[in-house]
Amino acid sequence: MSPSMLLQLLVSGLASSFVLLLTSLGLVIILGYMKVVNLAHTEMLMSGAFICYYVYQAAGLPFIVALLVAFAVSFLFGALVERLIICHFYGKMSETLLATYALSILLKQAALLLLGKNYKKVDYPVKTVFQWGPVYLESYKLVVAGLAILSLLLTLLFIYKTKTGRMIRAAMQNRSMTESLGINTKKIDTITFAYGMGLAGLAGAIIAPLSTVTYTLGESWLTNTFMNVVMGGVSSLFGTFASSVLIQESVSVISGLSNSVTAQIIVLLVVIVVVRLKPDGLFTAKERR
Amino acid sequence: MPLLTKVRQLPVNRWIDLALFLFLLTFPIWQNTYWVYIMSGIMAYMIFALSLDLLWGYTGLMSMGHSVLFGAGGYMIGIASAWANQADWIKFDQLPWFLAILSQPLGAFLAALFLPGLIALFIGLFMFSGKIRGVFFSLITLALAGISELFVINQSRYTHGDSGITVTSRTLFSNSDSQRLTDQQFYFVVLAFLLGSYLLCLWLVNTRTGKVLQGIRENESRLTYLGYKPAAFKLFIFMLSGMMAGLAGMLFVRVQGSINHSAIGINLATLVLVWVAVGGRGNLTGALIGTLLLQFSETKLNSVFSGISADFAQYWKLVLGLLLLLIVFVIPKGLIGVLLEQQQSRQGRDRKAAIMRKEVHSHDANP
Amino acid sequence: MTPTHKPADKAEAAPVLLETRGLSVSFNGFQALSDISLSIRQGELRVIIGPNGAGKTTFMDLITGKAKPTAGQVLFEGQDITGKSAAEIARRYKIGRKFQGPNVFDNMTVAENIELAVAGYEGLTQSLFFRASARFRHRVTEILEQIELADYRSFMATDLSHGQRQWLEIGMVFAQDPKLIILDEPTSGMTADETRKTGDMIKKLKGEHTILVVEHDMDFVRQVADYVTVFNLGKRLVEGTLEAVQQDPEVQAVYLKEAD
Ligand SMILES: Nc1ncnc2c1ncn2[C@@H]1O[C@H](COP(=O)(O)OP(=O)(O)O)[C@@H](O)[C@H]1O
Ligand SMILES: [Mg+2]
Repeated sequence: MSPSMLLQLLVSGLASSFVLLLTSLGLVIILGYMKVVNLAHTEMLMSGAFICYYVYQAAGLPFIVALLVAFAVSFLFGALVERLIICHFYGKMSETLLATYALSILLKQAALLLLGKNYKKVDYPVKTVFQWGPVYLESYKLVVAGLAILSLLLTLLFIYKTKTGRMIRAAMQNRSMTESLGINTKKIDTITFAYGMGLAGLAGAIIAPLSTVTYTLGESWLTNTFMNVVMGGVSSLFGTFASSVLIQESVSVISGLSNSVTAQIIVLLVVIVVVRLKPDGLFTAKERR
Repeated sequence: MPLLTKVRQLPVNRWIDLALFLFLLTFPIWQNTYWVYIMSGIMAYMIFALSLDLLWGYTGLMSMGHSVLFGAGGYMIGIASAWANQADWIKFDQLPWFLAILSQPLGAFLAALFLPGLIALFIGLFMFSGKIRGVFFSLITLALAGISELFVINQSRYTHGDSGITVTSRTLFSNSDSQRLTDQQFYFVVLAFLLGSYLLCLWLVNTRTGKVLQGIRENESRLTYLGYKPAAFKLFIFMLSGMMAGLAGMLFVRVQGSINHSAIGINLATLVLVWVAVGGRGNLTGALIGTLLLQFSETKLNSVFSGISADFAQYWKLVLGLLLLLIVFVIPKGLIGVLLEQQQSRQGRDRKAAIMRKEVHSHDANP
Repeated sequence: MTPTHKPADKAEAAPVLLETRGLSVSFNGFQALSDISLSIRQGELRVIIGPNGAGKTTFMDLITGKAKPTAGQVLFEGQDITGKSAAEIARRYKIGRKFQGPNVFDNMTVAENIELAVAGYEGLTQSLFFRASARFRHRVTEILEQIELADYRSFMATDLSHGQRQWLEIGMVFAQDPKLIILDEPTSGMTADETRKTGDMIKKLKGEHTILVVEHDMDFVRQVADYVTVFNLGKRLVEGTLEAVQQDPEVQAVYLKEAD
C-alpha cells in the first residue's frame, strides 16, 4: 500500500468515524443514562433518513429544516414511545429487548408498506469535492463531521450544563434519592429517551445523502452501532467518540488490504474480544467532572 | 391413589405436549403432501425453538444470535450436498481440509451436529470466563449473527454467496441427488428427532442439572456461595443447545431443499425469540406451541391472502410485531406461561387452605 | 463466672476454626475495614454487632470470597483461604453464608431451593446423573421441619412471607452442612414471634456447629449470644461477653450516638 493510498484510507476512515459517532449518540444516551437497550434505535435512523428525503429532496425545503424536522419528529415519537411502552419495562431486560424489537419491526414494516421498496437518493447539500494532493474528500463529509462534533458538544452541554441534564445524571446515579428531592423522575425518563430518539432521527437525516434511503437502512447499522457503544463503555460519550474513530479507521485501513466486508468482520470480532477483556468499555476513564 | 394425585398434579402443559405429539403423529394421515412438507419444516423449527428455550427460558441466557448455530448446521448440509452433486457454481476440485469431512458418508451429519457444538463451546468459553452476562450476552450474540451473515455472503466460494445453496437430496445421511425420501417418510424422520429432542429436554430440565440451570436464571451469584461454578453449567447448556440448533438447521435444510444467508442472520435469530416469547419460555411447551401457531398461521394465511396482496409476508411481519408487543404487555409469560400460572395459583390456594385447616385443627386439639 | 457461660468456657479449649489477621479493605480510597484480627473456635457461637455501615457485611464478604482484602489474611482450619473464589470457599472449605436480606431462588419451589443447597453434588456430571436417595429426601424434609416450612415445600419461594424467605435461606445454609455458618442479620424484617423462633433454631445448633452471626435485634442477641464482638467504623471496638460489652463505655458511646 502506497503512503498516499494509506493517507486516503485514513482520511475517509476518519470521515466514517464521525458518521458512526453520529449514529451511536442516541443509543449511548439511552443505554448509558437509562440502562435501556433500545433495539428500535437504528429504525429511528431509517425514519430520520426518510424524513430528510421527503422534506429536503421531495419538498425542496432547506436542508437545515429537514434536520430540525427529523429531530423534532423523532423526539416527539420517542416521548410517546417512552410513555406508552418503555416506561412499563424498566429493569426488565428481556421484556425491554422484546418490546423495542417489536417496535423496530413496526417501524421497518410501516416504512416498507407505506413508502415502498424503492431506493431513494438524497442529493448532497454541498457538492464540492476537496483535493489535497492525492487525497479526495467530499465536502459534505466535512459537514457531517462538523455536525457530529456539534451534536456531541450540544449533548455534553445539555447533560452537563442544563438543569434538565443535571437531573438526568442525578436520576442515573441514584433514582430514589433524586425522587426524594422532589424531582419528577418519570418526566426525566421521558425527556432522556425522547432526546436519544431525537438524536437518532437527526443522525438519520444527516447521513441520508450518504446512503441509499430505503427501509433496510436501519438494520445495516444495527451491529455497528451497538458494538461501538458497548466498546466505548455504555455511559461514556467520549468513549463512544474514541471507539468510533478506532473502529472506522481500522475498517478503512483493513479494507484497503482486503475488502470492506472482510474488514468489517475482522474489526467486529476484535471489538468483541476487546469487550470480553474490558467489559466496562475500552474508554471508561472518568468523564470531565 | 398416589398415582392419581401425581397425575392430577402434573403441570397442564404436559397434557398439551401429549396432545401435540398425537396430533403430529396423525397429521400425515389426513393432510396432503404439501402440508406434510410444511409441517416438517415447522417441526425442524420447533427443535430450534426448544434449543433456545433451554438457553433462554431455563438458564436465562437470552441469545439473540442463536441462528448462528442453526445456520452452521444447515450450511454443512448445503456445502456437502453441493459438493456431492457438483453444483455448477463450485469452482474448486477439492474440499479444503477443514471441510474435508463433508465428503465422507455420515460426515455431513456429524459436522452439522458437532460444528455448532464446537462454535458454542468457543463462544461460551470466551464469554462465560469473563464478566459478559445479561444484556451484554444478548448484544454480543446479536452482533455474532450479523457478522455470520456477512461472513457467509462473503465466503461465496463455499456458500454461493447471496444466492445460497440448493439441496436436492433428502435423506438423513446421504448427500447424493439420487437418494430421496418422500415427503411423508422424511416427515417421520423429523418427527422422530423432534420427539427425541423433546424427551431429552424434558429429562434434562428435571435433573439436578436442570435445577442448577434455573438457579443460574434466578440468582447466579447465590449459586456460587453454594459451591457451584455456574460457568461450567452455562457452557454445557450452550453446547447442548447449539448442537440441537445445528440438528434443527440440518433437518430444516433437508426439508426445504435450500439454504441461504437468512438462515444464519439476525432475522431468524429474532424470529425464534418471538416464537418462544409468544408461546412462553421456560416450560418447553411454549416453545413448541409458539412455533407451531405462528409458523402455521403464516403459511395458512399466506395461502389465503397471497392472491390478494403480493406483500403478504410484509404484512405478516407487521402483525408479528404487533403480536409481540401485545404479548409483552398483556401476558409476558406467554400463552403457556399463563396456563401454568393459573394452575399454580389454584394449587397454591389449595395448599394454603390445607395449611389453614391444619392449624385450626391443631389449635382445637390442644387449646 | 455464672453457669450460663459454661458453653463458652468449653469452647475456650476447642481449636481455632476461623482466624483473620489484620484484615483490611478499601473501596476507591474509602477504608471500609481496617486491621481486623479475630478468631473463632470450633463450636462457638459468635455475634458481631455494630451500627450500620460499621463494616460487618464487608467482613463476611472477605471471608466468603465475595471481596478481596487489600491487606491481611483469612485462615480457616489453619489454611490460608485469602482471595480464594466464592465457590471454592463454599465447596472445599465448607463455609456457608446467609446474606443480609433474603437471597434465594425466587421462581423455584421451597424444596428445590433446599435441594440445590444440599452439599456434595456441585459438579456437572454429578448433578446430571444425580438421583435423590431416601436419605437425601429425608435430609431435605428434616431441614424443612427445622425451618418450619415443611407445609410449604411446594410453594414458590417468591410466594413466601419475608420472614419465611429468611428462614428458607437459613435452611439453605443448614443444607450445605457447613463447618462454619455465617448469618448476616437473619432476623431483619421478622415479627417478634418469628425472631424468637429463629433464635431457637440457631440455639439448637449451638455446640455442634460453629456460627458467626451479625445482628441488630438486641432481644435476639440476648437470646443466643455468649460472646460478642463490636464493630464500629471499620474497626474492631471490643470483644467479650454480652454483659461485659454492654458495660463498656466506648460501646455505650457508639450506641448512644446512634440513638440520637
Ligand atoms: N463494594 C463496595 N464498594 C464501595 N463501598 C462499599 C462496598 N461494600 C461496602 N462498602 C462500604 O463499606 C461500608 C461498610 O458497609 P457494610 O459492611 O455493609 O456495613 P454493615 O454491614 O456493618 O452495615 C459502608 O460505608 C459501605 O458503603
Ligand atoms: Mg450489613
